[in-house]
Amino acid sequence: MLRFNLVNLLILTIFISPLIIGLLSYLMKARITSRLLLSEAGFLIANLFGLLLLGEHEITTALRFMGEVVTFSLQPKPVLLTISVLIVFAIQIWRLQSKKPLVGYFKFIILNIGISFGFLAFISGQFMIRYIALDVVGLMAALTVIDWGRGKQSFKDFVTIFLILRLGDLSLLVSILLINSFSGTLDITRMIDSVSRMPASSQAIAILGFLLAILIKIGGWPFGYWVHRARQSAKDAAFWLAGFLMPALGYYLLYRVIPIIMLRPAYQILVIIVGIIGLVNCIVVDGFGLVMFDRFKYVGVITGSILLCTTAMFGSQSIILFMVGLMIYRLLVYLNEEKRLAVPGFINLAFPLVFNGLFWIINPDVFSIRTAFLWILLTGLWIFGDWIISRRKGKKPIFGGESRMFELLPEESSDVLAKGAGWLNQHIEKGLSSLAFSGSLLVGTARWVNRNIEIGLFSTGISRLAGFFVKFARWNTEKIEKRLEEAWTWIGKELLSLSKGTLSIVEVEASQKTDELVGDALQSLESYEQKVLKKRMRWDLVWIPLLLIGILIFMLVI
Amino acid sequence: MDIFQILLPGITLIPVIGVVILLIWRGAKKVQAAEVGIASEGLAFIIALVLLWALRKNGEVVFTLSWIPNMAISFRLTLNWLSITFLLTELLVTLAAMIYSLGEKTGEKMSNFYYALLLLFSLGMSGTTLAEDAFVFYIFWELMLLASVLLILIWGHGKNRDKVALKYFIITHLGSLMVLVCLITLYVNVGSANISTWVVKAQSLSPNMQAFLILFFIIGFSVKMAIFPLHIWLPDAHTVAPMPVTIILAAAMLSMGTYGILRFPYALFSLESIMPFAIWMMIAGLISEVYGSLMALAENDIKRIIAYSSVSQMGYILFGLGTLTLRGMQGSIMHVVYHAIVKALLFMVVGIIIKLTNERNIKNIGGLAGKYKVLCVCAAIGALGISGMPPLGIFNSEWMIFAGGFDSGISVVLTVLTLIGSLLTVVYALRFFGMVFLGNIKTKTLSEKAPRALLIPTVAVSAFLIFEGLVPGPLLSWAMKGLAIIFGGDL
Repeated sequence: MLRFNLVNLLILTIFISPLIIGLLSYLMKARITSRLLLSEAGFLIANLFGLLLLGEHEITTALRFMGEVVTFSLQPKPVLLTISVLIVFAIQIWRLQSKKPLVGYFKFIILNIGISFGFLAFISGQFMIRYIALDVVGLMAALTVIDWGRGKQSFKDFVTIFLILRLGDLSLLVSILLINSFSGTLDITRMIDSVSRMPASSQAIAILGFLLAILIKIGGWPFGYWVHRARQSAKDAAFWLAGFLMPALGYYLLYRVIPIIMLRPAYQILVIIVGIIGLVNCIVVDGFGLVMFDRFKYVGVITGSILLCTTAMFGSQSIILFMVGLMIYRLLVYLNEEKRLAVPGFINLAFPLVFNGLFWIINPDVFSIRTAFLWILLTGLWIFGDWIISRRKGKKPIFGGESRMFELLPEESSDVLAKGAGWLNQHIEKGLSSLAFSGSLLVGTARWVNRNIEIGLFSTGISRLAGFFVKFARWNTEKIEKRLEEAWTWIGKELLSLSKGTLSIVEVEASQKTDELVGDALQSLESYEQKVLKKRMRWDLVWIPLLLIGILIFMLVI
Repeated sequence: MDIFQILLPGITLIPVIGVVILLIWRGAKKVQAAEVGIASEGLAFIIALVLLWALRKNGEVVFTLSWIPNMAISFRLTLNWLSITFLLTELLVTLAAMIYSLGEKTGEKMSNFYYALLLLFSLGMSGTTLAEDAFVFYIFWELMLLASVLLILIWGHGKNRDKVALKYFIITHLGSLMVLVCLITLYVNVGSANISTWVVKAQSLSPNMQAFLILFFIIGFSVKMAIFPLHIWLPDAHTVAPMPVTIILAAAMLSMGTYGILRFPYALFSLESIMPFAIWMMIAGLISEVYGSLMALAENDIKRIIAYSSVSQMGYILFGLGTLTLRGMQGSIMHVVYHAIVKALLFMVVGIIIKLTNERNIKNIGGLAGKYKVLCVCAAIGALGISGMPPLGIFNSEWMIFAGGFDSGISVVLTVLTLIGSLLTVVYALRFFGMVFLGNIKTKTLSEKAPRALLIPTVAVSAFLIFEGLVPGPLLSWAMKGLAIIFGGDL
């Protein structure tokens, strides 16, 4: 078990206290007010700061999971990320400024389980324990949308979110098990180190598995749909699990697999391409007014894409700080959308500029001309992408596969920068529209991407896929199962008729024949007996056995 | 002969005594008959637990009684680390089913016969697990089949029960006959019915003969496991059988196929001889996993949904066995146990739902969560359990099976497909849960409360499932030791 010292005590406190608080609040029927949640968050943040001050620690426990030692790896960076996510939680609650109970007991317990296991996922040194923790947080994040009052609709949301997150978990499991099979360990650091020695095909599968898992967890393109669903169903405090904790865990997973991404330029390019596709998709789709989801979902996609590109370009250099910054940005957007914080429009636009500029200032060594150019391009795309989404302020997002063209009126823009950007956009769009070929191509592409990828494949696609499964399963029942059934019935019938035939020919007829034969034999015996009985007794023949007995005695004596 | 060797035949003898008492006690009421049955089964279970302690000390407990010396046949029983896992699972499941029976209407008439047959069914499984002599093995194997067929025939639901029972008998018996052919072939070639002797001599048989025996053994036992397309007996048998019998069929009897594969082809022949069949077992496992899930998704009868889920779960087990790796096979053995617990739980839940609603069509059931909270929690645990959600048990066995797939190096693609295919399990499990427990109440007449006699064992099994998931260590160690008996240091 864990040896008792301050680090272990703090770890145990942070892991167990949310569970205890959740349980006690239910048992004592406490009101789940913002004060309670803020106190809890404050307590956890204080403990985490304590851990941060204690520095790096590798803790080997006496616990074993399926034969592997359970370890914890305490590093300042993940602790910092955990603190930032909890601060986001605290700010989110603080801005609610509500004295009413925020969530019911069910969601409060879920929230606390999520916090405990989220912490476990951050500090676990063993991949399978991290996987379990991520899976549990995923389940909790999906459960936050359950609303008993909404019945089946909320359950449908739950199923959608849970299935998407589970797909991410399974793809993560593919990577973990593949590497584990090669390295023979579940220790994260040693596993990551061993990837360089794996065959290229296995490496590729592992990186694809990780990438899929990361994209799903951070709500990146094209999997941001689940965040949107969670946002619609889970309100306020409960949404923190899906909107902030889960993406933060995805960020951290990305941080851990950076050495794998940096193994080959091909992997870096792959990650950058995935990031840019997500970014461009947001801009193209939104630029042509085919927006369906809330801004937070798109910001999730944009920040996720930026993070992927940054990671693939610069590796682990200051990346945790970058992640913390992205969390703050997400929070600003969320609070703005929820009308809990009036964020001036220019801040949204200035933030990427300042933020990316700071990153450059902090890490000047990692920039080459090529990366600097790409960095400026990414910053521009970020600003542009967020700007065109934020123009829809006050308009309700459209959902359900509808498309909508927004009229881009300069009056809608609330500040100079936005006005300027609006003007630019209007003119660029006009310019683009005037070019019949490229305009129609772009619009067509955007629509195609929107209809087929965004809506078709990853939003309604999920339900269509489920529908397909059901249809396929029904077809299977009709065509295969039933025919197999018929085949078996046919075999059964044939077997029965064969048995009947066999019974008739081999058993019944043979038995009758035997009966007849036995009867005949008995009859002939009887008639023979009768004949013998009619004859006179020949006493002279008695000498034969007597003589034989005499010979026998003689032989025995001799 | 030490005390443990004397105790070992008690596992088979005590149920026999129970059967004799029940057959003599014709006027026994259901509760009285149940008491005799539960006491017999409970005692057998206690003996098995005591012998577990002996296993820790000696590693093996053997009992031998000369039977037909001229034919080299003896009543030989062996308890080792492989058989103990299966034995405890069967005894525990039967015990739970017998207790659950108390809350059911089944067996109210001819109670003594009903419990006697349940005991014989359990005896068949215990005997099959313990038998070290092929002749004894086959007798118990057939006893298991006969007892279950009679239970379906006499106490089954619906007019078709005789046809279903016959179908179940014919198809599973076809598998049994394939096994019998193998047993006779080995007996003739080796000149003894002692399985331990076979282990030594079977590898000296010609390669063609070995291949033939491995193939026949695997197909024969796959019928019992209900692997696609040999599963055709299972949905009907599970649906028509009374709920306690369904629980035993699904949770315990299916595992006999797995045990058979481990006990015969795997224990008798070298890994090189089995290797050509490995990929086919993995493919069959994958098809069964996906096919079973799809069927469970398409079904509307709640009993059949869970029945088809068995086809799917057996697919995982066969896949794990096909990997021929330590982790894959360890995972398969663990999956047998976890599947038994989850399946018992889900059928118990289904039994209560049918009792409450008098309805089996999932479309006509809904909104039970509001009224039956405990049942809802148990069902949620079962649904998450079968979906492989950590920390519930099936997660442990599933990831070991998948890890075995990667370890084997046979096909990474097959393993990835099996892993991703497990998402289908989540879909049907959630569909089952959502449609039954959420939404509006559709049934006109609903009982006020779920019967306690049914609910208590269901809650106990749910708790046990959580416990088993959190503490997988002992099971993992038993599976490891069990495989060491079969393969030694070969894996």
